[in-house]
Amino acid sequence: MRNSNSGIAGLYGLLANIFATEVSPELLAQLRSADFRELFTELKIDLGEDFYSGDAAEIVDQLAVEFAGLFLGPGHFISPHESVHHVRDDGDYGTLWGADTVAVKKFIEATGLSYKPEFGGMPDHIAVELEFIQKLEERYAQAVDDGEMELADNLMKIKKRFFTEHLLAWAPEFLTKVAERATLPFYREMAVLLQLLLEQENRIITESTEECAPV
Amino acid sequence: MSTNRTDDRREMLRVSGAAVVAAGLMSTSLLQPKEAGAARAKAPHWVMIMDLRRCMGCRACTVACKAEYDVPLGAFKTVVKQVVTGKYPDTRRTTIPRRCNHCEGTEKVGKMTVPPCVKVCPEYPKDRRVFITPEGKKIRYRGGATYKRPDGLILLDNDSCTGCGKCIDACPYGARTFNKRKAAGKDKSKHAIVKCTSCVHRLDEGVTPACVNTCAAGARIFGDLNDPDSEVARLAREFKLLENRDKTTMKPEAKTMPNIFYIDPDGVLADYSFDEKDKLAEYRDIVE
Repeated sequence: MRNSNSGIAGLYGLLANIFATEVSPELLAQLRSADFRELFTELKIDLGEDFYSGDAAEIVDQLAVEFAGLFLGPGHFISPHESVHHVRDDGDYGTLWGADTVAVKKFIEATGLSYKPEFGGMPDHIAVELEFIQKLEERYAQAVDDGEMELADNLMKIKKRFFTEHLLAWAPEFLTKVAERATLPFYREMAVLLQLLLEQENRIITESTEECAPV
Repeated sequence: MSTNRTDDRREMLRVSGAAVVAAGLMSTSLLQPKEAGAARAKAPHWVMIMDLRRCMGCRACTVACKAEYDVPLGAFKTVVKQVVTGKYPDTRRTTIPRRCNHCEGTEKVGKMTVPPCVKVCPEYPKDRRVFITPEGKKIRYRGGATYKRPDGLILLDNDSCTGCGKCIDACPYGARTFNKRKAAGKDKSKHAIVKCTSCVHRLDEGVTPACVNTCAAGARIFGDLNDPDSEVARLAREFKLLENRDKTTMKPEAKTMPNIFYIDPDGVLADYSFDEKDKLAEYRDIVE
């Protein structure tokens, strides 16, 4: 993946944060700061003027309602779990706690990470998958700094495998649904941002695979 | 969105991560490094702890179990019972979740210590089996119509079962019953046996049993007692569950050494009793 890791972990961290739970007042304050506003403008993310000028408590409420409507229910919501969206050849999909839930848990635990005991969600939540990539990218950056190239190569192989077997296999479709269903610009734009990030990552992975392929 | 705009954004994404980090964002925290425990060649020792302070009697566990196994009508693998303690006006109702205790047992068959249900099974011990620990060590054991695995689970193998029902009589808790919609493997004129398997199919894939997974109150805590860092080991130490088996397990007088423990600060278990003849009714979920 060459040198594309320039802090990309931070972007995964941001998106993991946003999809993990409702936006807290502290996070909102950070997102409304000048630094982030500049970043969002740079990324052409239009959160609307209300997001920046509205009453903070009111916006936190609105975002919490939107988050619940999109990801928690009741009623029609979009389950943010891989096993619900990832269409598998063996037909074991479309339900919570499916085969992919177990596959993701095993994959993550095989890398030497574990789920925090206080995490009560399911192992294949979108935020978990994003945080996993964030952690891989952080470790990759550290390995490159320390000159541990073999470890860095292995970490990228793990990332590629996780991307192709899991994240890319379901997240784009899930994010399209989120972007269509969202009523506030915030979740719509964040879904589009993640979609673009995944597209970019996919492109880099494909290119690097082609480079490595024997002619 | 135009293609150009998308491409612009793409290019931005490649350089913008640094800015996000620079902004000092708090990070999510769902994962952590796995604690490096000492390599254990022993099989896990599965136990469940029922925290009576937390159970609110919602019966989500009963429903999850029914859904997981398609448990037949009239049979239950886990139930939530109620006990009323004290005298009017100083009374209190407590909910007590119950399922098969997966007892250690005190009687020996060969080298294995087994509970009464396994001891009486005419189809035990039969075929030779191998249990592989997470560290890859092989432990040999014997199968049967009802048998004990080295990790402590008491399981059924319907193919070997004659449907004699001796295990139902032997279980002092009433945790076993006939499955009236399924025939025993060796004698199709008899019914198969149904009881909790501790969701062995899930455990073998590394996920917790369905009842534990669904318990909103966190009243069911499941784990490996052989792992000193596990939640169950911590709770067992904190509440002295192993030392006080006569107060932390169901029917200690049956001397079956249950692997289901109760955190019971009010001593409600001592007030909970049922007659031997009514034991099967214990595993009917009747909302009172």
